[in-house]
Amino acid sequence: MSTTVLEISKLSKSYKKVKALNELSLKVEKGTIFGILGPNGSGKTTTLGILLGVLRASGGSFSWFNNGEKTENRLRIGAMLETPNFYPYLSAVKNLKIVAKIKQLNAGVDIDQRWSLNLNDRIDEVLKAVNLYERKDSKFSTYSLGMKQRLAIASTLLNDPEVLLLDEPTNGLDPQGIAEIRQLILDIAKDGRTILIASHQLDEIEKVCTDVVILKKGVSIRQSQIENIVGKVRQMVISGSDLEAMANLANKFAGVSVNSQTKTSLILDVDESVTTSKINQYFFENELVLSELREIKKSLEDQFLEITKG
Amino acid sequence: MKQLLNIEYSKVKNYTTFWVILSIYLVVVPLSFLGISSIQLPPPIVPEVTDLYGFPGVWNYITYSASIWNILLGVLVVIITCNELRFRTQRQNIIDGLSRRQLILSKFGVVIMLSIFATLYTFVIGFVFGSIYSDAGDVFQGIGHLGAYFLQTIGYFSFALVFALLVKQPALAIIFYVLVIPLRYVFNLTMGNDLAQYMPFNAIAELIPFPFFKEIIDIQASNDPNHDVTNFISQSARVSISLGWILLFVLGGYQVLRSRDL
Repeated sequence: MSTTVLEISKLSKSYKKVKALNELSLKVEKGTIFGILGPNGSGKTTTLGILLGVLRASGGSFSWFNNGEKTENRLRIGAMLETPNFYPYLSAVKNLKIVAKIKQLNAGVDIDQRWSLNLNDRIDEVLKAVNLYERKDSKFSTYSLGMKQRLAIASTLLNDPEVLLLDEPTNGLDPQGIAEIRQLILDIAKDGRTILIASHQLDEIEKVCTDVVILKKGVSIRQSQIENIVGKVRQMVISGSDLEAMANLANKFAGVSVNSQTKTSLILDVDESVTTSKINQYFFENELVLSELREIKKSLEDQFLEITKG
Repeated sequence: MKQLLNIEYSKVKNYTTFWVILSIYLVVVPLSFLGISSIQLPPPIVPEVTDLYGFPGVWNYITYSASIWNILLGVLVVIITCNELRFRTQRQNIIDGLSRRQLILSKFGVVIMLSIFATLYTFVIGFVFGSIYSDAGDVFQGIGHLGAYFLQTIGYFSFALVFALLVKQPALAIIFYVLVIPLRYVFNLTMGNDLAQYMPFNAIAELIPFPFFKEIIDIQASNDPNHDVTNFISQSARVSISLGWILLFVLGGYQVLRSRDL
């Protein structure tokens, strides 16, 4: 049995003049937390919109659960796209009941054998999970942006979906809310669920995702497991009195190259074999004393800015 | 379909505007019908009360009088359809697992429900008036007007549906919808009566014949041998034309939804 949850093949979307998405191909395996990363306008939401049936692709295809583009696939997915969309004159509970009817979860029917919950209990449960239980009977229109966002997340959890698809899930949340949602995502992923997250917030992706695709102007420019992007490139910062001489010397050392130079220090890209003590010893032997030497982990943010530069 | 109607019912159950407009309709239909008899004009301009309210005349008069208020329910259809676009809940319904076909079907289901409601209510009003003002002997004579009325409401409401989907903005859609209905007079003037009767609002509106001045018209017709009757198509032709337009509205609405990015 194949474990591919989603396969996208050469997906394209053009508006009148703009190519919002250009031949994107990717594969999402079961159990991964897949990040779709990119600056504003890079095609993240366009991609998700096509996958969820609200946007029409101009070319290419996709397949959920090896079952093509059928509507029924979406019943197995919990998804939010951009803004939280609910009936403003209805309470959280009543809004979720509409979602439940669309998802064909009927009152009294157990949603999941493991829980043996009926629909009302399940609604209470997801509202508790996002800290909205106390306001469950308030109208949606009275909610703050953060609460609306929480309700959208609760709604995606309702049918205990095999795949969770979240577009900027922490939008509008306070730091505590962001931490809670992050934990929630990690908890859900533990059950072997597949999660797709689109975000321009790098630390969000970096902290939870196992795989990432980076989009820029509708084109995939990098696609790999997250550890291949974060931490693969090691860097060291060195300072001393004569940066010129240090740079010349550094470039002669195997596995080291000068990445950049600031006023007071050099940033070196180093191979895995290179250690700080080896560097220190090397410069000392060449009669240069380092006033500073430390390793820095290149963050996803640096990678992201570098990759999407220009 | 039952599930779709169930979903639609959940959407309007707590929507105050829906119930307010429905209540207004419930009040104005019998009230305006009652008001006709108070018009102080001699017969045959305003008929005798027993002709107006008694069987079998009541079916034509009540359906004609009630049809004026179809616009209220038509506006209601415009509002709930535009709401789905404004709140972006139509989009969310798709994301949650409805197909575009189900979207249009569920709203057409609302149209049919409103039509059934309007027809039944009109039947009740007509029946009550008829029972008071005449013997109940010939109740079902002329009841066919209710069938025509049912078709007419479906016509107006399904047009409201496709119109709202096209215009999207609720305020604009309501104003245009109200303005578009009398467009049939423009068709009459510009296309001539012959061609105009095939236009949607002409065919749909004329499903219920104008009940007043009947005698005057009859007299005119008998006095003038050349009186043009050919520009009045038969009722069955009118029913077919109306059905055709309704089909076109619904398919048009589906086409709009199907091709559009939501």
